[in-house]
Amino acid sequence: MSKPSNLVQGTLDLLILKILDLEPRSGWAIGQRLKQVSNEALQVSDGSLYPALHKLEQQGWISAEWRNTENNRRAKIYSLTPPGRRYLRQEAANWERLSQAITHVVRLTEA
Amino acid sequence: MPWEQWLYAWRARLRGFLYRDRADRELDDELQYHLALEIEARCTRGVPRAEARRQALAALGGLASTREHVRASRCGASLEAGFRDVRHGLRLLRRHPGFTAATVLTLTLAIGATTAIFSVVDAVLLQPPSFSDPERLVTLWQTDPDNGHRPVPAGPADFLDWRDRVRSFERVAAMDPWSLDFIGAGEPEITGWLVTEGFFEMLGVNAAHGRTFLPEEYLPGSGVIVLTNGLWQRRFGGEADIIGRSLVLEGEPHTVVGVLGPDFELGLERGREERDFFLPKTFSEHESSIRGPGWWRVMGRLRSEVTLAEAEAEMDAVAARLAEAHPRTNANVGARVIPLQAWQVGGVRPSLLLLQGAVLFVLLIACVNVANLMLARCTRRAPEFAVRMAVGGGRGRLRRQLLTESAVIAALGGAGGVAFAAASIEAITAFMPADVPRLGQVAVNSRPLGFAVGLVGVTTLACGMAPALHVVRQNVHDLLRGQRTGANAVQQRLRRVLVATEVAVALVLLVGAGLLVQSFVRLVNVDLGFAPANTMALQVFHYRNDGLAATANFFRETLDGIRALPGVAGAGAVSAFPLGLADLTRESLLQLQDRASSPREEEPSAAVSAATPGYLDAMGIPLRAGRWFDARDDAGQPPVVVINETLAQHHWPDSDAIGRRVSLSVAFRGRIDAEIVGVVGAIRPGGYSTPRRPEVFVPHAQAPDGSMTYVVRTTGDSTASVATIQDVVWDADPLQTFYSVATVEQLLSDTLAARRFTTTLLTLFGVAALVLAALGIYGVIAVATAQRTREIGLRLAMGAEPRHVVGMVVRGAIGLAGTGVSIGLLASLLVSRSLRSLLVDVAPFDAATLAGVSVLLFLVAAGAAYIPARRAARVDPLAALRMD
Repeated sequence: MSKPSNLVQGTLDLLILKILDLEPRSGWAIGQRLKQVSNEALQVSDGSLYPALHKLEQQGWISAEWRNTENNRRAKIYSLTPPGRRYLRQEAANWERLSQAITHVVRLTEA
Repeated sequence: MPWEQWLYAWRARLRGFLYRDRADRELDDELQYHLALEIEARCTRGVPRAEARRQALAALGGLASTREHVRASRCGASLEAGFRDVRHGLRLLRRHPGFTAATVLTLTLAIGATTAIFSVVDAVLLQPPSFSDPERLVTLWQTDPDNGHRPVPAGPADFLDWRDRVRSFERVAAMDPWSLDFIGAGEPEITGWLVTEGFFEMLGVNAAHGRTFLPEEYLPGSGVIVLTNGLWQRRFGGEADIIGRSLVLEGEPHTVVGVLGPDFELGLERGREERDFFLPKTFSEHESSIRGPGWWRVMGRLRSEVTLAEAEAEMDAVAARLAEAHPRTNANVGARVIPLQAWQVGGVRPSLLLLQGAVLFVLLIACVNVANLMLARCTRRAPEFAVRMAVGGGRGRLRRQLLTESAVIAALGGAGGVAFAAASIEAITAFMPADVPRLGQVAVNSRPLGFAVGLVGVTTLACGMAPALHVVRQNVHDLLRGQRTGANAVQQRLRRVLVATEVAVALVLLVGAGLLVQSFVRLVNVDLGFAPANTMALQVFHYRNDGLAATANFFRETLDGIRALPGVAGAGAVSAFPLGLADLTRESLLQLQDRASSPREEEPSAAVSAATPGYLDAMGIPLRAGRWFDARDDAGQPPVVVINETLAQHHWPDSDAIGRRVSLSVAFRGRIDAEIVGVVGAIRPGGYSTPRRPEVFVPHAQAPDGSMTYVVRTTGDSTASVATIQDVVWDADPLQTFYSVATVEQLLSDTLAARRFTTTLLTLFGVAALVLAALGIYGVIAVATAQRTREIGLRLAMGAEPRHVVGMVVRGAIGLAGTGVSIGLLASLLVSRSLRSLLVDVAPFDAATLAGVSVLLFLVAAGAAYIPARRAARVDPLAALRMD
């Protein structure tokens, strides 16, 4: 069973956590925000978003609750849990280190 | 995982797992919400609604697949796969009712029998007596040098010395069996115990209602009584106002101060049911001086820091000191310390362990049979497996599914087995000897249930391992091409090994059963030395204050009255009845005139009993020489005795014993010098399994014992005369009670209860093993011949006779059985040794039994193979050759 993801494994999780760090959102709003902030460069399919959300919930990084939205619909709103917030900070730092290192190496070979 | 995250994670996981339906519904809601917003967003951009919906769905990658992906990411996904396997397994079982019935039923019976026997073992052997710290409770006995140093009850003075001198025990208390007249509804007499101070404290038992005795109540005349729950329920219907009520017992008022709980069970006396009351007892001055082996059963509680060995050592030392101080009564009298539980279960332990082992063997065979059936089904399901493996279904996944199927079968069998065990418990306990302790507590409760669950686990592996491992070995390409020969050969070999194992185990069980049955048959055919049919035994304790002559008269008159009854062919009485519930045998050293036996031999001794005229005929003991007692042998005449042939032949092998003189000690008379007037046949005193022993009879009129058993021979059914016999006794003494009333045949049968139980169950298990092995052989041969249909068709086409085909198949089965029989013979050489203690006149390696059982198994193998063989021989050669 292959997972429909064209992102580096784990990257999507990081993006979701970062988006939720700003404010709690529904799955749909997270998808919209993802497209928006990445200038549609990151092709996150809606199909891969929901499995990722549920996995994060089961890992305890995010929690969800049902709320009424402004247009009178009930939506499942995800928010970061305190351990999720700590995890995000740690992972973001890791990512920065890693991407800097990779960028460094990539430039080195080009030169 | 830090605890905080763990908390969030598990809340989400549990919700997803426990409320799977709700989680699924919520997921649908969430996805619908997503779609609705997505469609709306596209509509506002001017996309037509239908197209917007299509695009939104496409972006999501389809509702169903998203749902699946989310579910797979959920925790417990593998558990769900497990549930799917279970459902698949159940579906398969429904589709093959024959296979299902065969496997589930086999396991139901096997697990049921194993669980039932374990329930008995658990309650009887594994559960400690229901007292606090029961492992510290011990029974204390004296050993009687006159009686082969058997543990016997103690004399009061020795008990008092133990109580006051031995430091190993926290408390020591003594008890004496007692009975009381109880005129009212129900039994006219109730039995109980006299107990000395501290008895209940020693056991650590409190009354369930009221209280036990206060220290001052142990003094004479306190008139208090404690009842068991059994008596309270039986005689008083469990009425709550029993405490404080006054009961007239034996003409005296007794105030009930307490009732014990329902689980109180002393289990001290083998061969009889629990007693029903307790009376406080303090020894009189006279009693406190009686030493040597006596009649008080003593129990003690070890101090917590004292080991059994230390207590034994101290008791030995005390016994030695007493022997020195009181040589007349205590010379050579030792002491024994036996833990209460060991004392209670000593008799049944080997039998129960044997049965538990045997029934586990039956379970093993049942598992092998189920494994065999599953293997056979694997062959038929080979195409399914091949396709699943070809499309990428992992072997691990297949293996897991096969194990799950086996688990489903085992679980169904286990559930059925528990029901079967619960239903059969009553029959089993009713069939067990009544003196086995804690029989009333045998039930399929938590421990047997846990045991059954364990059995299901073991059964799952035992039944599923072979098929699961087998699947791995198979080659997908061969399977797909339908070439199953290679794998089949492996599978067929595996099945043959399994069946050979079955035959071997069945042989071991049948040999064990055969040895026990032979022992049983030999026992019941043993010459008892008396004729038990149509005879009643009524035991009384008749003690009076008006002299020995009155006692003698009482028995003479009542016997005369009984002999005059219609239907009575003969009547007599004896002091130590051979099958008596209480062993009243007195031993005496003998001095024999002119004995021809080696003078260096120990002083001869014999069992001495008082008997009346008529006893010999009533009991059906043959007279060998001289005469039996008659009315002439009364107190005024010179003492005479009758000896049995064992004694006569040992000491005067070549000459007549009649007329010789013997000196012996007799109850109420002391040492007497008597003339031998007769020699009678020797009997087996304790029933079938006890050896003959030297015996001396003295005329009751010359030694009037009060503990006597009437033996009445009738012309017809002896139970019909009981009431009239009792009337005769009550005419002479209206207050006389009967300690036991039973036919001699019943008493004899009771001596065999334990053996009958063991033998019958082991035989049942052996037969079950035989049937299962026959089914196993049939299954293997049937599959093997079906696979050889082409070959057999070819043989027939070439002119082979059908009977040759039958012979060929049957020979194959006999070869298979031969392997099993050889292994089984070796195994039973090892196992039968454990049976030795239960065998009578049969060696553990009895050649006839081994040969007989082997032949039986060969015959059964041939029989089981005959059916598929006949089928094979009837194959149409042309149809067979056109196959495939």
